[in-house]
Amino acid sequence: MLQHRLRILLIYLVFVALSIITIGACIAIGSTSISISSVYKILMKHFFSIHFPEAWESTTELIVWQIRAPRTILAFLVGASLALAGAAFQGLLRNPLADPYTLGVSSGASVGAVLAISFHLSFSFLGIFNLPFFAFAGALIALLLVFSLSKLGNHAMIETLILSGIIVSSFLGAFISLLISLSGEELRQIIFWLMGSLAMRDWSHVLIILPILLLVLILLQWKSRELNILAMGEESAQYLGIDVGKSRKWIIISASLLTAAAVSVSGVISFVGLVIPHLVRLMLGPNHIHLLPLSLLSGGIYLTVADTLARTLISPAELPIGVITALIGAPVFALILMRRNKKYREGETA
Amino acid sequence: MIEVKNLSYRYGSQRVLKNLSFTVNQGEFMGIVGPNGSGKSTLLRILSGIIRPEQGEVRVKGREASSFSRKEMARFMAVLPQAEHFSFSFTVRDVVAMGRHPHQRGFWPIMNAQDRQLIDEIMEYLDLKDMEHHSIMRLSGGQKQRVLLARMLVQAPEIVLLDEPTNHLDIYYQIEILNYLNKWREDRRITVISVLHDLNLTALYADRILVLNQDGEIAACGEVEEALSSQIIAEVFGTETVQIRHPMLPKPQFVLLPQK
Repeated sequence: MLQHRLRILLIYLVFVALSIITIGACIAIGSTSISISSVYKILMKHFFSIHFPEAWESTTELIVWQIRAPRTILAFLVGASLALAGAAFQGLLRNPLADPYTLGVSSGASVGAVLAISFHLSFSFLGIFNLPFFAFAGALIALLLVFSLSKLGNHAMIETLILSGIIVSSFLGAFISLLISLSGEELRQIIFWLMGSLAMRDWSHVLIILPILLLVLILLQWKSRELNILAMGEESAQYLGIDVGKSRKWIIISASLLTAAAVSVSGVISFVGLVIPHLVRLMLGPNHIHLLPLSLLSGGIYLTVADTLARTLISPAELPIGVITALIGAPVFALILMRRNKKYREGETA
Repeated sequence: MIEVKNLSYRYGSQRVLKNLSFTVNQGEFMGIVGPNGSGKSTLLRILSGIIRPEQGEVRVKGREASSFSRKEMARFMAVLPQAEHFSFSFTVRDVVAMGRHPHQRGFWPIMNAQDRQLIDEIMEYLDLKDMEHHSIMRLSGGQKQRVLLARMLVQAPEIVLLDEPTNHLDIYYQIEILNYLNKWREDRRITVISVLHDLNLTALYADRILVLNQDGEIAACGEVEEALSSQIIAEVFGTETVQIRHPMLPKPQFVLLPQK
């Protein structure tokens, strides 16, 4: 028992340490190279007002604090959000193929964003939040559509929910194609948004997503035991004392909100929400009490690395981040799956 | 413990249960038998409060069954449904521990030493200690059923409802599950209501038997000898059997005669 707890504590320590190291290293990497120790010192200065003797130039501080840190930390938060939401959706829908976009959140957000770009819709008071605002609104409308289609309140079946998500997604997908085919000079901007990107983001974007991520983490962590029990099937869950309809509503709404927040600041970044929870489950087991926070950290680390590659590989140009997430992610996942299967078969015969 | 009065239920326009009245006393093993489609599973769902009767009353411990919250109900009633899905490879211990959920309170419930001791005790009783850390997905049907039985007992129930707990199990596991259950019942004086397919097993383990017919009515209800006879079996199942006495126990058994 004690050994078991020690092991879990160690796993958390490793993941937290990896997160901090990854963020530091990824801020240090770029066209102007900066030492990692200065990166941490600058971050400490701004976050906690802990001052160190300043052995760096003021432009370095500007690059770290104004440009790279917000982008890198935003990448971490977006990855974390998508992986956390993905883990919740997979558990809830008892479907390892589910991802945060299963219920049409991404298509809704895309319609919102593409409409805003195509028709130059903007509210001046929103400033840089204009596009995120429209994306978020689109995501919420798509969710409402899915919920009313599947009558969430009246104890909808899991299958109905997934089907409603697919129907709404394909309908909105067609709508996006229509808008793209009618668009002129905005085409490039639309395509770029749809592929997902973290370029040109600042601290205000971080401040949109951070509170939502924290809130949803607390909510989902509260429901993590119920997620475990829901995986046993709806009927059994009721016999174990769970109000399935209510519990499911909490989980879907919080995970969807988080997804909508992530998509609205970064566009549609695929793969992270599907594969990271899977990977964590393969390595550390399906217990949601640990699966949720560890998926969060892994997703954050993964997207931080992917974004750094996206902005440095062909610098000064940038690669779309979705290309990187899938290009590295898919082979790595395949490799782990193959090794796992091999181990499983050997275990069978032994 | 459980009182059912004039209970009727229908799915859409199809009547499933018609005007049932019976009681189950504390500490009793009530067997429910009947042909496929006679509404046995529906009856269990109504007793457990997850579906409301269309007409009539179901009182559990003196209160309307559907008036309990799921959590309140799960603190004294455990149910083994017919089909259980395992979508993820939880360990045996994880699954058993889920039985403590209805008893845990607070925003962030954690297992206390008492919970853990109970889980250990029951896993010991059901001989699951060796496979504690195995994945539930890799167990055989009989082992899985034992894990689910453990999860029920960990709930510390006063009433357990089982829907064909011996289904798809070989003869060793069938008798094993019923023996574990029966011993636990005698030790703790819990009430057991179980749907069973095998009439002979039912006659051996149940104190009283409720026989439902094809139309969802009570064909017989009472002590084993009153409720089960070749005549009733012929009436309800349309199958000819020969009634004999168990050579060592005062219980009826039924043997089949193949057609020549």
